[in-house]
Amino acid sequence: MSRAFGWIGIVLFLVTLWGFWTEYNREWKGYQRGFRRLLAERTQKELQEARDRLSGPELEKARAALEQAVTIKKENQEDYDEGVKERKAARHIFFKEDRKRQFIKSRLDAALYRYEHEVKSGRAGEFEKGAVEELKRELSEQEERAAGLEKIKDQAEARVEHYDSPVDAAQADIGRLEADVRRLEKKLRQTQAQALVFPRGLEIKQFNLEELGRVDRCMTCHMGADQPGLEDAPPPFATHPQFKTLLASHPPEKFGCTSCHGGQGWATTREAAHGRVEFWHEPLLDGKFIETRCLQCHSGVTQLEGAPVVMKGRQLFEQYGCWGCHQIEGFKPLEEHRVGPKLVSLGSKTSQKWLEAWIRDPKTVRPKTRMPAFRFAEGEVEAISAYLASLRDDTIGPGYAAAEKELGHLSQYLAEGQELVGKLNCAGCHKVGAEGDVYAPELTLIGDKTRPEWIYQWLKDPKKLQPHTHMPDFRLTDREAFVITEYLASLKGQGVRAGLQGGVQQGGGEPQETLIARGKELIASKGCMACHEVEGIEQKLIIPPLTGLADKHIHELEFGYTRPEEVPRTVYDWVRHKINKPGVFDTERIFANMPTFNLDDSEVEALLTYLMTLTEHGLPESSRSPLTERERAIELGRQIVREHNCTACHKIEGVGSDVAPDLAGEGKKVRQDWLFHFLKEPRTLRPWLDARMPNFGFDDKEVTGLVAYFAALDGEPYPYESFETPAPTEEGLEAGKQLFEMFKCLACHVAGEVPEGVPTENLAPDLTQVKHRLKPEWVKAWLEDPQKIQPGTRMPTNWPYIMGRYYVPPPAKDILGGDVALQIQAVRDYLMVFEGVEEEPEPLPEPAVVPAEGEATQAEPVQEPVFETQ
Amino acid sequence: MRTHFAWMVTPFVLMAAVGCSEAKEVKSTETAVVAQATETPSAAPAAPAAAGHVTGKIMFSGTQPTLKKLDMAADPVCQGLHAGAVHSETVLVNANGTLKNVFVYVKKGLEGKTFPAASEKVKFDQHTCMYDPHVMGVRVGQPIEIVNSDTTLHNVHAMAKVNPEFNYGMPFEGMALPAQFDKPEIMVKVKCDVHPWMNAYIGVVEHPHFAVTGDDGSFDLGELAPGEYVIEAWHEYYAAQTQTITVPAAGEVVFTFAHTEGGA
Repeated sequence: MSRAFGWIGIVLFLVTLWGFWTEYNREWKGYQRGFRRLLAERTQKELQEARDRLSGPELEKARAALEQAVTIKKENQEDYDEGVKERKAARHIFFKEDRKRQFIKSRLDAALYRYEHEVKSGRAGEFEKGAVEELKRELSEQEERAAGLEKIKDQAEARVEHYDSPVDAAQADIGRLEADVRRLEKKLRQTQAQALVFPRGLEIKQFNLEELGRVDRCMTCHMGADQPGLEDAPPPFATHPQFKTLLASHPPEKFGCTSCHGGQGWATTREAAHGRVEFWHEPLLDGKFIETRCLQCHSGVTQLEGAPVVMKGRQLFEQYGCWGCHQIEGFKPLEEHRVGPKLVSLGSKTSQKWLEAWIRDPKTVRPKTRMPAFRFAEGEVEAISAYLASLRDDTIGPGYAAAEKELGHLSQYLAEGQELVGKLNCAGCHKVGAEGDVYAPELTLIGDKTRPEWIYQWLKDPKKLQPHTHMPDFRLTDREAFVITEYLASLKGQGVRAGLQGGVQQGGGEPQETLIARGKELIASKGCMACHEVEGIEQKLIIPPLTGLADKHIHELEFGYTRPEEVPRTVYDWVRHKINKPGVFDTERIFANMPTFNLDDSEVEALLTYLMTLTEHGLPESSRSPLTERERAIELGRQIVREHNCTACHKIEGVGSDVAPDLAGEGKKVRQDWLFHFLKEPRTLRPWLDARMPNFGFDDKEVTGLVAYFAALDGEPYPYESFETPAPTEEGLEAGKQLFEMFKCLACHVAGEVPEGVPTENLAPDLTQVKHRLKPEWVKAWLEDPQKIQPGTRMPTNWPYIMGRYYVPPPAKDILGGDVALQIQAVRDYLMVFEGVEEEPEPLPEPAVVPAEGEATQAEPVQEPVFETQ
Repeated sequence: MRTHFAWMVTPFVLMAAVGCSEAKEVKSTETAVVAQATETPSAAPAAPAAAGHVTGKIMFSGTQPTLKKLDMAADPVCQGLHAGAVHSETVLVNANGTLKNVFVYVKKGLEGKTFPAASEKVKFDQHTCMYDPHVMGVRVGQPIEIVNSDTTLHNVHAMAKVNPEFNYGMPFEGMALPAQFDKPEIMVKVKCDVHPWMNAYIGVVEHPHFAVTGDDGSFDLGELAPGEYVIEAWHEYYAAQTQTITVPAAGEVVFTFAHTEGGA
């Protein structure tokens, strides 16, 4: 019996021990011990490395020196001791006598004061004068004595130093070399002490973020996250991979960890903390989806460093017009702009047959189109096409007919049109053959689709046919529009595509009228209006909003007949499958109206990432970083630039094409009032070129947005700009005119009228426009060094700054005293009133060049103009 | 010893066509054509050269391309300076079948060596609305004097990629400006934006072993210490060619540029 109790007692004891142990040995403590071991190991390694460094010859040398110095000191111990004694005595006597000197000096100062006081108050001061003289003599005697004693003291000190200083120096050398080792040894002792089997001070490390409603204990295990130097440590101890960039601007004390990474912040076991447990709907975001969290605070931006995937997703959402059906904040209201064209005058533009092919599967007609494919029942495509083909516009045609009558069809027009298409950079937006962008519809086989009458009308005035189109007006002449039309209408396909041409086709058996009526109904119910404006039809489709999509519980989502192995039960997987194949969750009761966009995998993932930012549980306002006025202006500007594809021709913020001028520094360069009017109604700055800035028909909001954007990019004030107002003198203007003529500015620059019959290769912009267009400060900077503002420009500088000095041509030397700054200002001032010239200036020949006075840093003799070649 | 060298300096030619950004119209077949041409002992046997003295010539094969006629109508001053038609200087073939304006230099083999600085001034002239010389070589840091000898405005626009680009207006006859390049660069293209037909090329090297072929197509790279060197021949229209030579074994170095088709 007692044996049984004995056994039970042992078992109970062991169970109690086990209970204590499991209570003590929590999972996180294992990580903390591991981290401490890691630190100890690393310190050990560092220490070893420091010691290895120390075993070099330098330390040996220092040690030998120390040994030698100590030996010498020991060998001469008697001399040293005597020296120490002597030094003590000498110091004592010196300090005593020196103090005496100080006292005498004080007494002298007092006597001098009294003496001066007596003199000032008009008394004779005989007595004090005598005292002063006496003290002066006494002081000089004492000074001499003290100086002598100081010498003796110094000698005694030197005697001791002779033995001490080599020892000190050697010790200092060794100390310097060993400092690292000692520091590491100390650190090792500390880290080893912390890495015991039962270490002290293991504790939960947490950030209690009341404002965010989060308590994050992640760093209890991820202990090295905020410690640089552990980049190569194994997980979970490594330094945060974005320590310097992201963590610096998002300190965990303020944002915690789970705000960005997801997971269950307060959990203290690995699985639970990473949130991959039941009933926790915010699991750890790994890989690309981590970017979804950026938009919690950085919403409203379209460019965000470090978040390329979610930004791409946002762009896709915008470009594909997802917001047409799924309206969310941050996108323009539908009335202002839809991604697709207004469905008007299609009967005058194309054939019913083409429309059928297009609507049935747009990608077979144009592989790069953004128009999605719908799932139609039989006969629906024909009905919609019939309705669209019934939309006609009789104003299309007369313009083309008139041009056709005047110009006829000449074979040369094709080449001419093709050349013009190249020069106007149509490929900047449209794909034409192998070249071009997919911003706007592909033109490769446009002849299959569009009638020449429509093309001509479109080229002449795009906004007349599509009031909201982004296609700009190139101010084409009738002839230009006609030759381009001839060329484009000739772009026709072969085989099956050839069948797309031709007139209206009759529906199989069904009368055209009922077909058209049915088509009209279908357009309303299929959701065409999300992307296309159609007059006289109201949208009938009800589309669920995407707000809070990321917060959806999987029980709110309909997974249809799919099995969990096919579609894992997460919001991510649901959305991914829905984008890829909208009908995937269809059942007898549910039919998805959403069309297929045929996105590639990277696009789907980007779009999904963006959609997963749509949460209603974002961070509170206080933790967000609101955009400054300047950032807002830049953001708006970028949006307009993107919408109108400005970078198809211009380089903006370093991105874009070089077909048109790089707009870097535009805010500093041109006057805002000029830019406003230019954007509203561009006038051709270089009329001798075929390329020209087209008229985009910007509204006031867009124009002011762009002007503010360029101002913001260059840090220029907006809307009230301030610039230097030139106030030239009569003399200054005359000097400016003289220099202007001397430098032959009009050899390239146009003044008003473009000269006729001359080659245009070297022509440069009209100088009569300077006063309207350019900022005075910019003109000065431009004149001084054009290469600095626009590297590679054809504009030369007339005041070359070579090897530390300015060179002014001799004829210009006498103007304004040859002062470069004054000359530049004078030319600028002249340009600011320049209206054109009447007669050709005479050339002023004169050889050789001398540096401008006052500018030369080193005076070199005037160079002979002619040398023998090597 | 000398006779021994004489045997070794029998012409050996190694051709390598190296792609060059400036080169156009170079077909991949060219290498083969050239190689074939050089296997035949058409190049004259070299006279025994002094040990280490590297000389050679640039041969031209094929027919001289038709050169573009320059239209100087944009500037009456320029037009007035030429009685007849002026042609581009893109490909100039000499009477003896050699090629002019080829910049030949030691490309490899002189690394780490120092050379006395070049203080001799070289002239780069704008004359009759053309550049004189059309192709030239200078040392790093060597002073260049840019001169305008015309009564019209020129701008000298050196479109350097390695060195700083510059573009100076030179509105007067006789006006001169100093210039120099501080880094080696093959080649710096120079153009005049006022007169788009004007262009020239300047090769900038660190050492004095370079030459530009003239009316007889020959070049002299001077004395080189024994060793292996890579010699490059650069031409504005054809792809640059290189040969590896061993000094003192190398005799006369011969490059052949072949014209395949089209005008230049």
